[in-house]
Amino acid sequence: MTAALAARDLVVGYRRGRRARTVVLDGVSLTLAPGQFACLIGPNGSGKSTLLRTCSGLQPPLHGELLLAGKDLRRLTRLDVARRVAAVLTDRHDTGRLTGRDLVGLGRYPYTGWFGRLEGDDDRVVAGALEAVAATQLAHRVVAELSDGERQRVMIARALAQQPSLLILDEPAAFLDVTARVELVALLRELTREHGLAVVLATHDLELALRSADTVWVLDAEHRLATGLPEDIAAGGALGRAFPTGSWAFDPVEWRFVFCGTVRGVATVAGDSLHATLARRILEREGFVVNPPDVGPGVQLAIEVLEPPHAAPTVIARHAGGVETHRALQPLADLARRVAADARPGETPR
Amino acid sequence: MLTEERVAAHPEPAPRASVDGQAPARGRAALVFPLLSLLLVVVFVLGIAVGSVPIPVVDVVKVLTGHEPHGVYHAIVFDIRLPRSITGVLVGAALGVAGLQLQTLFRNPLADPFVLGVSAGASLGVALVVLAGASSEATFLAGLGGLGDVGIAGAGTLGAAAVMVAVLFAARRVRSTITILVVGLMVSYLVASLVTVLIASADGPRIQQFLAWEAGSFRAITWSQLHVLVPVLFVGLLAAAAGVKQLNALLLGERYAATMGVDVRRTRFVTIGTAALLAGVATAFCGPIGFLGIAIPHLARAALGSSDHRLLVPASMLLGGTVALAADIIAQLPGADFVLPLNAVTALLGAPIVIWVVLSSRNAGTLGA
Repeated sequence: MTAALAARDLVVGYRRGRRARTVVLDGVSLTLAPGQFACLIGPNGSGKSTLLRTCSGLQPPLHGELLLAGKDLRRLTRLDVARRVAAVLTDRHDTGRLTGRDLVGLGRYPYTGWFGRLEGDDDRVVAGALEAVAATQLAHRVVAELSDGERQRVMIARALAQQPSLLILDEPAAFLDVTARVELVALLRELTREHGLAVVLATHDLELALRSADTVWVLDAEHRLATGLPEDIAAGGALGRAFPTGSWAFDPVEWRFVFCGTVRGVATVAGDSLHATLARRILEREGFVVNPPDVGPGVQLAIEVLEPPHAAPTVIARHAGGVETHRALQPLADLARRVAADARPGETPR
Repeated sequence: MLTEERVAAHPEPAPRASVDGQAPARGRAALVFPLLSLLLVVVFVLGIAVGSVPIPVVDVVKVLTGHEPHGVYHAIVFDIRLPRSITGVLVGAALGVAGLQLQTLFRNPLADPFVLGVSAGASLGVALVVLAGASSEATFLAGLGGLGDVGIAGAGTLGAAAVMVAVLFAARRVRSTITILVVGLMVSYLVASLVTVLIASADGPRIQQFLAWEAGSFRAITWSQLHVLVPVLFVGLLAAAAGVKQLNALLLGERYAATMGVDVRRTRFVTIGTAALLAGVATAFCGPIGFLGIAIPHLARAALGSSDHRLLVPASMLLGGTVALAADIIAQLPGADFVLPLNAVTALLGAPIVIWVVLSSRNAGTLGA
């Protein structure tokens, strides 16, 4: 099967004047098969947008080979590129009185004639694109009056109207709330599975990227690219290199950032019920090492969570000052903060 | 593409789309365009009827349709009124369309043909001929000035062309469209200050002549000038009509347009070139007529309730011609024996209309609206 996107030893960057060039990424090699969902993650300034601009054909590669659906980018006209790659950007412009259908119809640009008149198959394609993103009911609404999530769906439908084999989204979730963000990713996955589209999504939402992508592309601040299965990326060191932080580290098992700064104490949490897990998160946030492999005598807090069916959970906390029993998590958080403040940092063994 | 679940989820049938998939806007357009055309015809006939010698409308129609080849009004209509009205229609259309192009290109609802500086360039050309021609009778410019109105229009065209070449040169070099806007505005200021210097050093009658040109008028145009003006503006309007697809794509911004296959730099170059040609030539022949370039596109959007340039470009032509002629009729103040400056009338007539349009419809004042 021909890859939707294939890059070999690609050098991306900018030309400045006749000779000078600024190389952003060097030696990039990638492939993305039809029906695959790739997430591109990396800190700001790592070259995500430059890479995506190059893959969208907006910026010529400085060197190397870039194939779009099997054809060398350099041999394609602008319109040919637009028939292979479509993009959804963060740009938000006043679209005036364009309706959803008008806007999606603009996606037919590479196929229509001199005046951009939609004819023949164009209407069917536009309707199909709106259906694919479940936005048929937005066809006759004015785009400027849609919610951010609805607008984003229409913009994706516009990209689909280009009938591309590759869809590139550069941080399309920037304006979206959590629900819309999750729905967006679900929609993109569906497009890969049901329509065989290859999708590249640049996002800052690390966890969502790891949980939903078929393949993850990680760029770090030194412009190194690592690609692979989300699980392999999580197990390897790429995320740590890409997102180095002082006191938080990416946990390859939990797929979230966990506190690893100054240790305030050691705690134990018994049980693995929901509230036990939540209690554990509270303690970690306050700087406690929870349930270390060898629990010595230096335990400042011992928590037991009882979660009887049909009753509120009970939190039993033992500490130097005695035993407390609570029916909510808030008092536990307060207690943890107090104990952490009393403990002298640095003296407790990690 | 369509799954059964989706059909069930949206049982309400989508409204049937017309061939173009723009059912509501198309329906309105079918009403608006005949109306605008009718309005233009009415104003055109009225414009010929009104003047220092009023002509009954019936006679105007008779003369125009060739039923009265030797009537008393024939000479007035064909030698004076008809060139004036044709000029008004074309210049109004040119300024309206140029304004629409630039508002979309610069994504700025306040853009008009003057932001490119071509009108200022035309002013400088005219000022050089009319004002500086005074200093030495032997100069080439003075010679041009001696040619009268043809020389004025020619000098204005040269001035506008010079600025247009400069702005196009900038358009090819710079990355950002906004930079062109700034360059154009700065050139405008620069050239306007040169004109001020020329005025300061000129004598009274020449200043009078220059101010008369600057007040704007369709009445100085003769048939021989129309032989130049009509083909040039016609070509410009055709070029503008040919660019509607690119302008529509630009509604989403330059980056989106590029991802859809638009050659953004070329579109920018062609659009600025067309707008500069239309505005530059119109200004050179008729003086810098304000307001039409800003207002006509807003009126067109409000009339059509659409941002589709396939509709807006022809609507701006019709509306531009109509408003320009209407302003010219009002400028003659039927009954009075003097003529108001066209510039003053377009602003007096138009500014309140635009304010009303902007306030009464929610999106009209914004860009694509």
